[in-house]
Amino acid sequence: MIKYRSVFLIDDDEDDQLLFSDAITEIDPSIKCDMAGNGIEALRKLSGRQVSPDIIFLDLNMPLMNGFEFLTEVRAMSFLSEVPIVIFTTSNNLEHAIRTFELGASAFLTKPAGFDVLRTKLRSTLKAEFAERKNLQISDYLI
Amino acid sequence: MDVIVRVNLDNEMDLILAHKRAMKLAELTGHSLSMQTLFATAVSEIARCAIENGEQAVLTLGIGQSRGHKRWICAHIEDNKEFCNEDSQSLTYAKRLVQDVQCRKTDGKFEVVLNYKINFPGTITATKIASFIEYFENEPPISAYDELRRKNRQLQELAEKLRDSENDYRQLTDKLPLMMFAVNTSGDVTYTNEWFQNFLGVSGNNITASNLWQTFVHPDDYRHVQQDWEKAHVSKGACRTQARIRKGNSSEYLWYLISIVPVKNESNITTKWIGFFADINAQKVVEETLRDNRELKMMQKELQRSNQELASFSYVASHDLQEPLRKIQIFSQRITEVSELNDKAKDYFNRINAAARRMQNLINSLLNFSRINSQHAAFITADLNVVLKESLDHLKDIIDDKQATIEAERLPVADIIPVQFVQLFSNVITNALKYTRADVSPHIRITSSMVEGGSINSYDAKREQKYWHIGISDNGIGFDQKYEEKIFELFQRLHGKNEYSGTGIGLAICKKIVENHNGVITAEGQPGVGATFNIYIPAART
Repeated sequence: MIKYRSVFLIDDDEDDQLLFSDAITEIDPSIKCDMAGNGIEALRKLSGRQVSPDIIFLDLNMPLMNGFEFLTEVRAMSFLSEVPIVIFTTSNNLEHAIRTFELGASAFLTKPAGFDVLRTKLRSTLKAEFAERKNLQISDYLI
Repeated sequence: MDVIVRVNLDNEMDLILAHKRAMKLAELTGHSLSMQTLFATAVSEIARCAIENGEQAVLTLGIGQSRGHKRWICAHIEDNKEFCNEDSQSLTYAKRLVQDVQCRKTDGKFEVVLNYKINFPGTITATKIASFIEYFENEPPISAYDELRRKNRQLQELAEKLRDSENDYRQLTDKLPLMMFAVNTSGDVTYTNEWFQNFLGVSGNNITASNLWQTFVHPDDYRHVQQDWEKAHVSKGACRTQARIRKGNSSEYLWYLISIVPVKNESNITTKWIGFFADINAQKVVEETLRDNRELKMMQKELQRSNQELASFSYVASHDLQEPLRKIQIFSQRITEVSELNDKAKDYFNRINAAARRMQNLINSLLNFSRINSQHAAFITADLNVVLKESLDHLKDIIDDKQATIEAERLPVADIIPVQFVQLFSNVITNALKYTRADVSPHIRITSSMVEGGSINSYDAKREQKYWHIGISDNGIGFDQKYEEKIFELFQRLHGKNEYSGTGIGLAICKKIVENHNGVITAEGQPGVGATFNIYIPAART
């Protein structure tokens, strides 16, 4: 059962945007998929209510405003407090992961080298429940 | 007696001089003409006798003085030989003219002394005597002969002074802490001082400038000294250089400043060369130490820079290099999924995928390699048996797959960086499992012993150090011994990629790890029989 119906990807890499939307479409063509190329564009779209996602996927290394800065900015927007943010990055650096959790991220997903792996990971992410996770360990956050 | 003037009595001409000067001195002291003649004739008599019978007679005219203010003019005629005796006619004749005539013999010298009284002694003051001396010094030459004599005497005096001063100089140069020498225009050494002879253990005889360089200058400095010397020879200028010079027959070399300057005559033609070696060893040692320090600091800086570069490379490699690869893999995989491809096209895409995977392995291995370079991991006293077991656990799948048997002796406890040692064992064993012979089941033997540094076949081993020797032998394809150095180099492969997989980094990592442990790794191989990797690490912490 897919829990999230509208997803928002913030990533400057057009290849990854394409692969991401392909994967989402293959999982369920009815899921709405929006994109932004950096943190600033994403904040504009979110605060203008052009997009209202159930879940946000966030790249870390981006121009203008990177993922860490976006996480800091987005805290001020109370209407987004219930929306889980999943980090979607090439980094597999544990320190980065810990920092993002401290900034409020719900999960950490490393971009895989295979499309089938990507599809599987996204499917399980969309099914997951990111409510109260305070008692979990770091390893539970890593998808 | 105050000496007024001297006359050498060599021949008849000197007799005239003797007579004239005796006359003059008598005149100056206030004697009448007849008295002057008496004294001068008496002096001439004895002088003639001395010229005829003597060898090197000298007449000294002067003024004598007693305590009672009595004064007299006196003539001493002195020779080595007893040129007359009491019975001589000359002496008898002289005694008739001058009352006080005596013959004396002292210290092998024979002397006739004539004293002639001065009537008014009060007039002969010290100033007066000085004026007499001056008179005879500036006396116009009585004859050409007299002039010659005078010049001769001056020359003799000069020669004496020269001899004295040369002695002084020689003593000075002998005592100076410098090696001094002179070289003539043909290059022969014509003079050496004491210091030179003592230091080099040779005198100037039979040395030429060239074999001086050859024998005593350090072989590494010989060429430039020879060149500088030849350059100076051609340009007729000074030669100034520095070199290590051997002390005598010992093997000790000390740093010296070599300075050789040409000596030129009035026509500006070089007649000889004089030179010295000055000890600059202490200065040189300080200089070298300072330079070494400077170089060390520069190398440290360079090392830091290279480490920084490596760190940024690691980042670039981990992120930017892997990104495009991931895309190649994922999109080529997508194509095979979403489109209807014939078998050929599918094969091509599979090959693209395989190549990308190999590249990813390479990047990961390189990252490992650079991490080992930059890691400052801590040494821990660890049981190598435990470390080996961990490595074997990692390799369990491939060991089972290859049906390999592994046999290990009891390994020692040593000071190591455990993470690196796990990788070291893994890499060597992986290597052994990779290069196996198709018809033989792999067998790996791990041995352990303690050896002396001197017995290790490598320049990097310290002779006095004891090492743990861990040998890892296999029965695989082996290798030709001439490739021993090559197999530890980065990206060196002895086999094609299609025969055996590998990145050409594994053994380079092994070498780096062993070096991190101040150890040595060597390899022995025999094609078709097997290979042994020898790991040596210091048995005590260094």
